[in-house]
Amino acid sequence: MPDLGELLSHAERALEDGFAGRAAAPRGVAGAKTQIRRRRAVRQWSQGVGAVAAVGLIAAGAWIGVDHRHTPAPAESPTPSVSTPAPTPTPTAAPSPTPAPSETATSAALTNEPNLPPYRPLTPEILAQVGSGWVVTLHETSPFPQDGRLPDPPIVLLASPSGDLYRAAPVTGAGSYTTVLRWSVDSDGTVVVLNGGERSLLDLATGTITADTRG
Amino acid sequence: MSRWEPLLEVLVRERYPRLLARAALVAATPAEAEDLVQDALVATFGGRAKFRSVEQAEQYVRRAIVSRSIDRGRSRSSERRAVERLGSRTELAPEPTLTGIDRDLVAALRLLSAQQRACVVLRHLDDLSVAQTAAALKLSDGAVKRYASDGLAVLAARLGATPGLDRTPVRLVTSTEVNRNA
Repeated sequence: MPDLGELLSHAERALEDGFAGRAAAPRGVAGAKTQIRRRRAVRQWSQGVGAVAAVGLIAAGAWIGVDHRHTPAPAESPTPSVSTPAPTPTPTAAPSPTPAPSETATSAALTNEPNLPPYRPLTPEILAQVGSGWVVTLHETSPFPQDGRLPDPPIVLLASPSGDLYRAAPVTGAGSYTTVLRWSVDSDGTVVVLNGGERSLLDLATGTITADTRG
Repeated sequence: MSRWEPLLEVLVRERYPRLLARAALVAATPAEAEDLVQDALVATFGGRAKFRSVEQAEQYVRRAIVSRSIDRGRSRSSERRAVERLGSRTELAPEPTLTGIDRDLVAALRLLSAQQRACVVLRHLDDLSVAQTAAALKLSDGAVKRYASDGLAVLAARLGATPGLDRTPVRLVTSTEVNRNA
């Protein structure tokens, strides 16, 4: 009886001979390249701005076990220690302590949807209460389409400091890949995102993504 | 074009059958082999490793194919993506028709769990040590020993032999027995 290693090697060569002339499907190679580019972009992004998003994860505990793709980005307080190119907040823009969501807002019916944690709608009243300690995250519903089409737009969820989730307006204008870059409490309801490789602004009230003209 | 892209293209153009053969050895089904290769390419070129040659990249991908074969069992999301890919594929390329012991061995391998197949292939085909196999598959040394042993037992039962064990052939010799009677 030959050694198992020899048998395995022989079988592998026989398979290789049988696969001779077999070429990878162009669509499969293109799909692999797309995934590789995304991985590299995410890695470079996370290395570049990971430190910025390390402010106050009050609501992080509520997210344990939640199936989300990206590291949630907490709303940042405009403290002098954060050295980013963002505009310096004026004294009047200093946020007041974050109030808890009102009884009316939190009593709205929870929506249960497959692959998403239970959430409530993000109303203008709730959005007005968003401040330090809140967390924004994007959920991808079709991250890697293999047929060449763009993925579906991400679903934007906000988590209050008490762990309640609120779904923002449906996103429009999303590119091939969208991820959170920065979110500040004095950002007037917008989140800085990387959208299709370009720095853009996501309006939480309308869900519209527009190019960030600040560059 | 990034530096990794030309290397990936050469690797896929020149070494695809070899990669597919390795994947067919560790895949649970023939249809899974091509997805395994694609997953391994993404894991390899999407990581931090840098390659100086196609040969180096190929070795890395071949190892990644084996490790991904057990990761796929662990990851429901990659299973879902594989199903999406299969669902969007117009037709599946057939697996080569093997004969004799090659056919029996591949069929026997598919009776094993993903972990058993991976351990058997790395230990007995790539000649990795227990520790190296454990590191490659993110398993403990004890788990590698158990999976490899269990895998060998199944292969032995299926193939009707005990492959992989060093056995000395028994040679019969004639002898004369002398009884001394008191």
